Amino acid sequence: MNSWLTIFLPNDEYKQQRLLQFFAEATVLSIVYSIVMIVVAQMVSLDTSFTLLIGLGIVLLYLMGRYVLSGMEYTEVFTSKAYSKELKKIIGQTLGFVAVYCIVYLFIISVPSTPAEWLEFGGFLILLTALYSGVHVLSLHRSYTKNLQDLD
Amino acid sequence: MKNHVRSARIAANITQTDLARKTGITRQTIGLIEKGTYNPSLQLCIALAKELGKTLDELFWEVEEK
Repeated sequence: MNSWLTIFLPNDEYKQQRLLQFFAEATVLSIVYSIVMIVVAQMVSLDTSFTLLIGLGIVLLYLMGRYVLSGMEYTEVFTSKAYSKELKKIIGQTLGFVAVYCIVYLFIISVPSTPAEWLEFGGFLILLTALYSGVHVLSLHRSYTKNLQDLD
Repeated sequence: MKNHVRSARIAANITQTDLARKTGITRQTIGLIEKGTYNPSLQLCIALAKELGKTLDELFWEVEEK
């Protein structure tokens, strides 16, 4: 396949095909969303930036959701030992993510000075950590289940 | 699509991991092909046939039983 898109795709042809399918579905969603918004904009006044941001969010969330639920991220996890190993990697990555977030926030942005600011800092950290680890663990679980099914 | 990749691989004493590495795909894809869930491209069919020392007919041709 000759396309500039292939530089962003993995070498495995099954993964390539599935990802192209997800991109195509996301494009259709994006077109439908744009048409709906054009019609809505004729009737009510819309904030352009907000409307575009929502559209982008829908496309990105759809792509991420499809990829995670497809179970094709961890293609080599076929045993409980490999599963545990990947789970440990995810925990390590999550801790790394927490460390980077804390360093960036506390040293580059600002150190919270009021209880409300600390609450905002902690709340956002918990939310991002839960999202980051949750998405990876879900992807790992889906991949492991899919891999075991294919072994039958 | 039904195929004989699994039996040919076992007969050749090659693991899914090794076959995946030699053909440049993932072990998951090998599993999907063997199960008949994923239909590989002609290019990949040829790569698999070469690695397993079989012809395309032997791996992928379905002979109707009388």
